[in-house]
Amino acid sequence: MPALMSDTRRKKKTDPDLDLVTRSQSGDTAAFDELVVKYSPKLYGLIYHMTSNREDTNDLLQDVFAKAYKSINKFQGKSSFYTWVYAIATNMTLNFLKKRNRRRGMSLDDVDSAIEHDQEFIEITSKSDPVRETYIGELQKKLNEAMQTLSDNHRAVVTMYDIQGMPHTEIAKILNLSEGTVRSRLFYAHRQLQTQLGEFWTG
Amino acid sequence: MNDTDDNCQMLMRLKRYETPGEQYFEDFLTEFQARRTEESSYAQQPSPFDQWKAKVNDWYQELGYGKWAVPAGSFAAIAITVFALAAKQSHEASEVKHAASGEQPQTEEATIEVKLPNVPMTPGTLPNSGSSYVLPASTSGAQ
Repeated sequence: MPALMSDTRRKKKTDPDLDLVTRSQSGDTAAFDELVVKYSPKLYGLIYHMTSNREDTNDLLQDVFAKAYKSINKFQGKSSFYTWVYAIATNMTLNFLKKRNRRRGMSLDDVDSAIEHDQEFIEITSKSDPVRETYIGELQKKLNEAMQTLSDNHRAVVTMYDIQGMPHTEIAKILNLSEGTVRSRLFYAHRQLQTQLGEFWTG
Repeated sequence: MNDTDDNCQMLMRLKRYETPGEQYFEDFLTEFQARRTEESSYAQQPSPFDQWKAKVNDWYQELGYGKWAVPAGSFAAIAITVFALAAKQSHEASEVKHAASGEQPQTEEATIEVKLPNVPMTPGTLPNSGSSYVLPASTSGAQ
Protein backbone atom coordinates (compact mmCIF):
# COMPACT_ATOMS: atom_id res chain seq x y z
CA MET A 1 0.00 0.00 0.00
CA PRO A 2 2.77 2.52 0.81
CA ALA A 3 4.39 1.69 -2.52
CA LEU A 4 1.10 2.44 -4.26
CA MET A 5 0.79 5.73 -2.42
CA SER A 6 4.29 6.82 -3.29
CA ASP A 7 3.64 5.84 -6.91
CA THR A 8 0.52 7.97 -6.94
CA ARG A 9 2.40 10.87 -5.40
CA ARG A 10 5.10 10.54 -8.02
CA LYS A 11 2.52 10.60 -10.82
CA LYS A 12 0.89 13.67 -9.33
CA LYS A 13 4.26 15.32 -9.17
CA THR A 14 5.22 14.47 -12.73
CA ASP A 15 1.87 15.05 -14.40
CA PRO A 16 0.29 18.36 -13.44
CA ASP A 17 -2.84 17.39 -15.36
CA LEU A 18 -3.58 14.24 -13.39
CA ASP A 19 -6.38 15.83 -11.39
CA LEU A 20 -8.08 17.21 -14.49
CA VAL A 21 -7.65 13.90 -16.26
CA THR A 22 -9.12 11.93 -13.35
CA ARG A 23 -12.11 14.25 -13.20
CA SER A 24 -12.55 13.98 -16.97
CA GLN A 25 -12.48 10.21 -16.69
CA SER A 26 -15.30 10.37 -14.17
CA GLY A 27 -17.40 12.36 -16.64
CA ASP A 28 -16.60 15.93 -15.62
CA THR A 29 -16.80 17.78 -18.94
CA ALA A 30 -15.70 21.06 -17.35
CA ALA A 31 -12.40 19.42 -16.37
CA PHE A 32 -11.84 18.29 -19.94
CA ASP A 33 -12.66 21.81 -21.13
CA GLU A 34 -9.83 23.08 -18.95
CA LEU A 35 -7.48 20.69 -20.70
CA VAL A 36 -8.75 21.97 -24.05
CA VAL A 37 -8.12 25.57 -23.01
CA LYS A 38 -4.67 24.66 -21.73
CA TYR A 39 -3.44 22.71 -24.73
CA SER A 40 -5.29 24.08 -27.73
CA PRO A 41 -2.77 26.90 -28.43
CA LYS A 42 0.20 24.51 -28.36
CA LEU A 43 -1.56 21.86 -30.40
CA TYR A 44 -2.79 24.49 -32.81
CA GLY A 45 0.83 25.50 -33.39
CA LEU A 46 1.91 21.91 -33.91
CA ILE A 47 -0.82 21.17 -36.46
CA TYR A 48 -0.63 24.52 -38.20
CA HIS A 49 3.11 24.36 -38.79
CA MET A 50 2.74 20.84 -40.13
CA THR A 51 -0.21 21.56 -42.43
CA SER A 52 0.29 25.28 -43.19
CA ASN A 53 -3.45 25.64 -43.58
CA ARG A 54 -5.71 27.27 -41.02
CA GLU A 55 -8.94 25.53 -42.03
CA ASP A 56 -7.31 22.11 -41.95
CA THR A 57 -5.75 23.02 -38.61
CA ASN A 58 -9.12 23.96 -37.11
CA ASP A 59 -10.78 20.76 -38.33
CA LEU A 60 -7.91 18.57 -37.21
CA LEU A 61 -7.71 20.23 -33.81
CA GLN A 62 -11.42 19.58 -33.28
CA ASP A 63 -10.90 15.94 -34.29
CA VAL A 64 -7.90 15.60 -31.96
CA PHE A 65 -9.81 16.79 -28.89
CA ALA A 66 -12.87 14.75 -29.87
CA LYS A 67 -10.69 11.65 -30.06
CA ALA A 68 -8.95 12.49 -26.80
CA TYR A 69 -12.32 12.96 -25.09
CA LYS A 70 -13.61 9.61 -26.36
CA SER A 71 -10.38 7.84 -25.37
CA ILE A 72 -9.80 9.55 -22.04
CA ASN A 73 -10.80 6.43 -20.14
CA LYS A 74 -8.08 4.49 -21.95
CA PHE A 75 -5.45 6.92 -20.69
CA GLN A 76 -3.62 4.99 -17.97
CA GLY A 77 -1.07 7.59 -16.94
CA LYS A 78 1.92 5.73 -18.34
CA SER A 79 3.00 9.04 -19.88
CA SER A 80 1.91 12.56 -19.09
CA PHE A 81 -1.37 13.76 -20.56
CA TYR A 82 0.65 16.34 -22.49
CA THR A 83 2.70 13.62 -24.22
CA TRP A 84 -0.41 11.50 -24.82
CA VAL A 85 -2.45 14.24 -26.44
CA TYR A 86 0.57 15.43 -28.46
CA ALA A 87 1.01 11.90 -29.78
CA ILE A 88 -2.65 11.80 -30.83
CA ALA A 89 -2.31 15.16 -32.59
CA THR A 90 0.95 14.21 -34.34
CA ASN A 91 -0.33 10.85 -35.57
CA MET A 92 -3.61 12.30 -36.80
CA THR A 93 -1.81 15.13 -38.59
CA LEU A 94 0.70 12.79 -40.24
CA ASN A 95 -2.16 10.53 -41.39
CA PHE A 96 -4.02 13.55 -42.69
CA LEU A 97 -0.96 14.75 -44.62
CA LYS A 98 -0.53 11.34 -46.21
CA LYS A 99 -4.08 11.50 -47.57
CA ARG A 100 -4.11 15.13 -48.50
CA ASN A 101 -2.86 16.26 -51.84
CA ARG A 102 0.01 18.48 -51.22
CA ARG A 103 -1.12 22.09 -51.35
CA ARG A 104 2.03 24.08 -51.65
CA GLY A 105 2.58 27.79 -51.92
CA MET A 106 -0.35 28.84 -49.80
CA SER A 107 -0.58 32.44 -48.75
CA LEU A 108 0.17 33.08 -45.14
CA ASP A 109 -2.11 34.84 -42.78
CA ASP A 110 -1.12 38.11 -41.25
CA VAL A 111 1.79 37.85 -38.91
CA ASP A 112 1.28 38.78 -35.31
CA SER A 113 2.68 42.25 -34.72
CA ALA A 114 4.47 40.99 -31.61
CA ILE A 115 7.18 39.63 -33.86
CA GLU A 116 8.61 43.17 -34.13
CA HIS A 117 9.41 43.10 -30.41
CA ASP A 118 10.89 39.63 -30.39
CA GLN A 119 14.48 39.67 -29.17
CA GLU A 120 15.57 37.01 -31.64
CA PHE A 121 13.98 38.87 -34.52
CA ILE A 122 15.70 42.11 -33.51
CA GLU A 123 18.97 40.22 -33.23
CA ILE A 124 18.63 38.74 -36.68
CA THR A 125 17.64 42.00 -38.31
CA SER A 126 20.53 43.85 -36.71
CA LYS A 127 23.11 41.32 -37.91
CA SER A 128 21.93 40.41 -41.33
CA ASP A 129 21.55 42.94 -44.12
CA PRO A 130 19.23 40.87 -46.34
CA VAL A 131 16.87 40.30 -43.44
CA ARG A 132 16.86 43.97 -42.49
CA GLU A 133 15.67 44.81 -45.96
CA THR A 134 13.04 42.14 -46.00
CA TYR A 135 9.53 42.77 -44.92
CA ILE A 136 8.23 40.64 -42.10
CA GLY A 137 5.59 39.10 -44.31
CA GLU A 138 8.16 38.09 -46.86
CA LEU A 139 10.33 36.47 -44.22
CA GLN A 140 7.39 34.52 -42.94
CA LYS A 141 6.58 33.45 -46.47
CA LYS A 142 10.15 32.25 -47.00
CA LEU A 143 10.08 30.33 -43.74
CA ASN A 144 6.82 28.68 -44.69
CA GLU A 145 8.08 27.76 -48.14
CA ALA A 146 11.20 26.28 -46.59
CA MET A 147 9.10 24.23 -44.21
CA GLN A 148 7.04 22.90 -47.09
CA THR A 149 10.15 21.51 -48.78
CA LEU A 150 10.64 19.15 -45.83
CA SER A 151 9.05 15.73 -45.62
CA ASP A 152 6.13 15.35 -43.21
CA ASN A 153 8.28 13.51 -40.66
CA HIS A 154 11.10 16.06 -40.80
CA ARG A 155 8.60 18.92 -40.56
CA ALA A 156 7.10 17.36 -37.45
CA VAL A 157 10.49 17.24 -35.76
CA VAL A 158 11.39 20.80 -36.78
CA THR A 159 8.02 22.04 -35.55
CA MET A 160 8.40 20.44 -32.16
CA TYR A 161 12.08 21.21 -31.63
CA ASP A 162 12.78 24.51 -33.39
CA ILE A 163 9.41 26.21 -33.22
CA GLN A 164 7.92 24.85 -30.04
CA GLY A 165 11.17 24.34 -28.14
CA MET A 166 10.52 20.79 -27.00
CA PRO A 167 13.47 18.65 -25.84
CA HIS A 168 14.69 15.68 -27.88
CA THR A 169 13.53 13.19 -25.25
CA GLU A 170 9.97 14.49 -25.29
CA ILE A 171 9.83 14.43 -29.10
CA ALA A 172 11.15 10.87 -29.07
CA LYS A 173 8.38 9.81 -26.69
CA ILE A 174 5.66 11.50 -28.74
CA LEU A 175 6.83 10.06 -32.05
CA ASN A 176 7.75 6.73 -30.49
CA LEU A 177 11.27 6.98 -31.87
CA SER A 178 14.73 6.78 -30.38
CA GLU A 179 16.39 10.01 -29.40
CA GLY A 180 19.08 9.30 -31.97
CA THR A 181 16.51 9.14 -34.76
CA VAL A 182 15.08 12.47 -33.65
CA ARG A 183 18.54 14.05 -33.72
CA SER A 184 19.25 12.51 -37.10
CA ARG A 185 16.03 13.86 -38.57
CA LEU A 186 16.78 17.29 -37.18
CA PHE A 187 20.25 17.20 -38.68
CA TYR A 188 18.97 16.44 -42.20
CA ALA A 189 16.08 18.90 -41.86
CA HIS A 190 18.47 21.68 -40.87
CA ARG A 191 20.73 20.94 -43.80
CA GLN A 192 17.77 21.20 -46.12
CA LEU A 193 16.57 24.42 -44.51
CA GLN A 194 20.04 25.87 -44.83
CA THR A 195 19.82 25.69 -48.61
CA GLN A 196 16.44 27.41 -48.54
CA LEU A 197 17.20 30.08 -45.98
CA GLY A 198 20.94 30.60 -46.44
CA GLU A 199 20.48 34.26 -47.28
CA PHE A 200 19.15 34.87 -43.76
CA TRP A 201 22.03 33.19 -42.01
CA THR A 202 23.76 35.18 -39.27
CA GLY A 203 27.38 34.95 -38.35
CA MET B 1 24.75 22.47 -31.49
CA ASN B 2 26.48 24.12 -34.48
CA ASP B 3 25.79 27.43 -36.25
CA THR B 4 23.43 25.84 -38.75
CA ASP B 5 21.25 24.45 -35.98
CA ASP B 6 21.35 27.75 -34.10
CA ASN B 7 20.38 29.73 -37.16
CA CYS B 8 17.60 27.31 -38.06
CA GLN B 9 16.20 27.46 -34.60
CA MET B 10 16.35 31.26 -34.47
CA LEU B 11 14.55 31.62 -37.77
CA MET B 12 12.01 28.93 -37.14
CA ARG B 13 11.11 30.28 -33.75
CA LEU B 14 9.74 33.33 -35.55
CA LYS B 15 6.91 31.13 -36.74
CA ARG B 16 5.59 31.05 -33.18
CA TYR B 17 3.97 34.39 -33.94
CA GLU B 18 1.68 32.87 -36.52
CA THR B 19 -1.13 32.48 -34.03
CA PRO B 20 -4.83 33.07 -34.63
CA GLY B 21 -5.40 35.16 -31.49
CA GLU B 22 -7.24 34.61 -28.24
CA GLN B 23 -10.72 35.05 -29.70
CA TYR B 24 -10.13 32.04 -31.94
CA PHE B 25 -9.48 29.79 -28.95
CA GLU B 26 -12.60 31.02 -27.16
CA ASP B 27 -14.65 30.24 -30.26
CA PHE B 28 -12.83 26.94 -30.62
CA LEU B 29 -13.89 25.83 -27.15
CA THR B 30 -17.51 26.80 -27.85
CA GLU B 31 -17.39 24.86 -31.11
CA PHE B 32 -15.89 21.85 -29.36
CA GLN B 33 -18.53 21.91 -26.62
CA ALA B 34 -21.31 22.05 -29.23
CA ARG B 35 -19.77 19.13 -31.09
CA ARG B 36 -19.42 17.08 -27.92
CA THR B 37 -23.07 17.70 -26.99
CA GLU B 38 -24.21 16.77 -30.47
CA GLU B 39 -22.12 13.60 -30.56
CA SER B 40 -23.21 12.46 -27.11
CA SER B 41 -26.89 12.98 -27.94
CA TYR B 42 -26.40 11.16 -31.22
CA ALA B 43 -24.66 8.30 -29.44
CA GLN B 44 -27.55 8.00 -26.97
CA GLN B 45 -30.19 7.99 -29.71
CA PRO B 46 -31.15 4.40 -30.63
CA SER B 47 -31.05 3.20 -34.22
CA PRO B 48 -34.34 2.90 -36.22
CA PHE B 49 -34.20 -0.90 -35.80
CA ASP B 50 -33.85 -0.58 -32.03
CA GLN B 51 -36.73 1.89 -31.94
CA TRP B 52 -38.95 -0.54 -33.90
CA LYS B 53 -37.90 -3.41 -31.62
CA ALA B 54 -38.77 -1.34 -28.55
CA LYS B 55 -42.18 -0.47 -29.96
CA VAL B 56 -42.95 -4.12 -30.70
CA ASN B 57 -41.78 -5.09 -27.23
CA ASP B 58 -43.97 -2.43 -25.58
CA TRP B 59 -47.00 -3.53 -27.57
CA TYR B 60 -46.33 -7.16 -26.64
CA GLN B 61 -45.97 -6.37 -22.95
CA GLU B 62 -49.25 -4.43 -22.95
CA LEU B 63 -51.12 -7.52 -24.10
CA GLY B 64 -50.94 -9.10 -20.62
CA TYR B 65 -51.98 -12.76 -20.40
CA GLY B 66 -53.38 -12.56 -23.92
CA LYS B 67 -49.84 -12.24 -25.21
CA TRP B 68 -49.51 -16.04 -25.28
CA ALA B 69 -52.38 -16.16 -27.79
CA VAL B 70 -50.21 -14.35 -30.29
CA PRO B 71 -47.46 -16.94 -30.63
CA ALA B 72 -49.97 -19.79 -30.29
CA GLY B 73 -52.18 -18.29 -33.00
CA SER B 74 -49.19 -17.62 -35.20
CA PHE B 75 -47.99 -21.19 -34.77
CA ALA B 76 -51.44 -22.58 -35.55
CA ALA B 77 -51.78 -20.40 -38.65
CA ILE B 78 -48.38 -21.53 -39.90
CA ALA B 79 -49.15 -25.21 -39.19
CA ILE B 80 -52.48 -25.03 -41.02
CA THR B 81 -50.91 -23.30 -43.97
CA VAL B 82 -48.14 -25.91 -44.20
CA PHE B 83 -50.63 -28.77 -43.90
CA ALA B 84 -52.93 -27.27 -46.55
CA LEU B 85 -50.06 -26.74 -48.94
CA ALA B 86 -48.81 -30.30 -48.43
CA ALA B 87 -52.28 -31.74 -49.03
CA LYS B 88 -52.72 -29.67 -52.16
CA GLN B 89 -49.38 -30.82 -53.52
CA SER B 90 -50.22 -34.45 -52.78
CA HIS B 91 -53.58 -34.12 -54.57
CA GLU B 92 -51.99 -32.55 -57.60
CA ALA B 93 -49.35 -35.28 -57.74
CA SER B 94 -52.06 -37.92 -57.64
CA GLU B 95 -53.93 -36.27 -60.55
CA VAL B 96 -50.78 -36.19 -62.59
CA LYS B 97 -50.13 -39.90 -61.90
CA HIS B 98 -53.61 -40.93 -63.03
CA ALA B 99 -53.47 -38.79 -66.11
CA ALA B 100 -50.22 -40.45 -67.06
CA SER B 101 -51.67 -43.99 -66.62
CA GLY B 102 -54.94 -43.19 -68.48
CA GLU B 103 -57.17 -44.06 -65.48
CA GLN B 104 -59.96 -41.87 -64.30
CA PRO B 105 -59.27 -40.75 -60.80
CA GLN B 106 -61.79 -42.08 -58.36
CA THR B 107 -63.42 -39.01 -57.09
CA GLU B 108 -66.67 -40.49 -55.75
CA GLU B 109 -66.60 -42.18 -52.41
CA ALA B 110 -66.55 -45.97 -52.64
CA THR B 111 -69.39 -47.71 -50.83
CA ILE B 112 -69.84 -51.20 -49.47
CA GLU B 113 -73.05 -52.86 -48.51
CA VAL B 114 -72.99 -54.83 -45.28
CA LYS B 115 -75.73 -57.24 -44.39
CA LEU B 116 -76.41 -57.29 -40.70
CA PRO B 117 -77.78 -60.51 -39.18
CA ASN B 118 -81.49 -60.47 -38.49
CA VAL B 119 -81.19 -60.30 -34.75
CA PRO B 120 -84.18 -59.20 -32.72
CA MET B 121 -83.45 -55.85 -31.23
CA THR B 122 -84.75 -54.49 -28.05
CA PRO B 123 -86.06 -50.99 -27.81
CA GLY B 124 -83.28 -48.55 -27.18
CA THR B 125 -80.83 -50.33 -29.39
CA LEU B 126 -80.21 -49.74 -33.03
CA PRO B 127 -83.26 -48.62 -34.95
CA ASN B 128 -84.33 -50.32 -38.18
CA SER B 129 -82.78 -53.62 -37.20
CA GLY B 130 -82.58 -56.09 -40.01
CA SER B 131 -82.15 -53.41 -42.59
CA SER B 132 -78.94 -52.83 -44.35
CA TYR B 133 -76.67 -49.93 -43.55
CA VAL B 134 -74.53 -48.25 -46.01
CA LEU B 135 -71.17 -47.55 -44.46
CA PRO B 136 -68.49 -45.49 -46.03
CA ALA B 137 -65.50 -47.49 -47.16
CA SER B 138 -63.11 -45.52 -45.00
CA THR B 139 -64.84 -46.62 -41.79
CA SER B 140 -64.90 -50.30 -42.75
CA GLY B 141 -61.27 -50.53 -43.73
CA ALA B 142 -62.21 -52.11 -47.11
CA GLN B 143 -61.26 -50.70 -50.48
